[in-house]
Amino acid sequence: MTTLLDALHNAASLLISLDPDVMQYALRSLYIALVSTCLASIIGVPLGLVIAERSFAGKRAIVTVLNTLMGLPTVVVGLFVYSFISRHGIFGGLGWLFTVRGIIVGEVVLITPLVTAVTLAAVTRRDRAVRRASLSLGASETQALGDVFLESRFGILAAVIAGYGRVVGEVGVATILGGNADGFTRTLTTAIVLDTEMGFFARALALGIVLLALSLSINILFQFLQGGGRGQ
Amino acid sequence: MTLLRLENVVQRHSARRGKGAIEALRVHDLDVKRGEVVSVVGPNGSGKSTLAETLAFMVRPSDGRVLLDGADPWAEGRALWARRRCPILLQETTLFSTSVLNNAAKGLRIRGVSRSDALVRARGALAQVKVEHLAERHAHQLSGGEQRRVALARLLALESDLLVLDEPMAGLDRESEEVMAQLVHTLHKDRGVTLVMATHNLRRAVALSTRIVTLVDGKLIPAMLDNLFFGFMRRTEAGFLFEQDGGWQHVFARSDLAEDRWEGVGPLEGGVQVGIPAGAFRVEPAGQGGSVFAGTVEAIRKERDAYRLHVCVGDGPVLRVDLALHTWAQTALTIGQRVELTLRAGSTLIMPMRQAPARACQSRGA
Repeated sequence: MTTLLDALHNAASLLISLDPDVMQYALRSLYIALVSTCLASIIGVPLGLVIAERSFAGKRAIVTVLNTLMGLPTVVVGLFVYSFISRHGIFGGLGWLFTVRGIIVGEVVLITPLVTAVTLAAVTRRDRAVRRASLSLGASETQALGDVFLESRFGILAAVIAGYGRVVGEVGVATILGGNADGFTRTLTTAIVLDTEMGFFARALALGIVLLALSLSINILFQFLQGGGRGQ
Repeated sequence: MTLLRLENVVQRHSARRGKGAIEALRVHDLDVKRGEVVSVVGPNGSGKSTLAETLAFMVRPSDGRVLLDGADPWAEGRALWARRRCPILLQETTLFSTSVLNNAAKGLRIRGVSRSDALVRARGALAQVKVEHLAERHAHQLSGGEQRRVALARLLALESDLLVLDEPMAGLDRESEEVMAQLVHTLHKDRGVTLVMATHNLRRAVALSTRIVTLVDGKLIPAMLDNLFFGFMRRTEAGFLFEQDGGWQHVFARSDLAEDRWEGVGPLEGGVQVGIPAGAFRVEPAGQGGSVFAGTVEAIRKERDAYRLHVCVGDGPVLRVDLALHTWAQTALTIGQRVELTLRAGSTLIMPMRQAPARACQSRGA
């Protein structure tokens, strides 16, 4: 108990003094999480919309695959992407292994199925009724799809939040593809693992608190954006 | 002048698990003329909504043509244009998650009308359905009846000369139903709007329509069935007692019923449809062996080859009665006059709620 209290005290000191290392890891984690979430949303949201809207052979199989990929172990994704961007991989020439870009690619691969599947679930609830209502008023197919997007916006936002939540606390991909290089690719989560292993419990705890704060602040922002959906 | 026309239209829905297709609609020929109010009546599952949505260019027919002003929009790649000409009130009410006013303006915004103009017209439309006081409310805070009225206001704001209404009065309270009925009447009489209305509310259909077409199992049944009632039939000593949901009862004599005019159809007990052609009535003293309807003449209209009467039978239905011109000359009826109607022998069709499956015919043949 004393250890925990001491650790909390030290954590508070590190945070109040804006420790440069802690700030550096926090900003890098935030950058990776936001960029990955944006990219995964750009791919996953339209994909979820199209899969929900269209009827085609193999749709059920695709939904099953997406649901399976939602729970993919992060280290497996890390290894998978590693095989592509390592020096002998197809994209080895890009030199993205052990860079922030490499981590972002891995995180995008990790959360795109999640964003797609949650978007698909959110849109499927109302897409047929909304689409029919739009068409009945004279909407074109594109306008109707736009209405489906607007009507499902809060569910789609939840998909984005879920994606962000998965990335911000993720350690497997960041370690395998980033290499945990201090000053280059170390993130809050990889730093926490390292500090705990090396016995710097207070620092690890401080980093944990920063990580929670990052998660919380972004979620509060999303909650604020979702506020308009109360009537739904 | 014909505004909408269906030619040999078939609608098929794919069956579950890819096992072939189910034929939901087969209409050889149906015209909707400018200024008409055509009601499509029939039991649940008879294809009324499919017909309404086909007329409104919501679904492309599997076979056949849907013509609007003589053009075939599906073939010409102008389905969007046609859909904008024929807005439809769908059976299910889906409002968008925004204010009532924005909902009412939605169709206009889709057509590119400026926001300010659209909102002005939307307010006018909300006033027509008497919900202008709800304009600033969120659509999902409304009751079912209010939502239905807002859905209709969305269509009214478009000021289209053609509207398709699918079960406009289903699930409405008495007040909302009255507003809806009054509005249909006003749209037709004052603004000359052509309306196609799919409904199972026969009393309203008779009161509001210029023409009724009957759909059973996806097929139009002969237009002579101007009086179609749904209810329960049971055999009694006096004859066949028919009871409608609303409480109206009538005993049909054995001689009223046409057993041989409809294959596989005959007097039966349980849930039935009773169809009486408008030309089946005689206005003459009772006691001719058939059953008698006593009522009051509510309206008289001259058709091309007959006089069409609306006769209100007590607290029962409004019957549509056609009198041939030479018969009319002998009777000289006036509005408000009490009359007694008898049925011509063998004129009344009794049909099961759903047509008997083909299997029954095969087993009989075997």
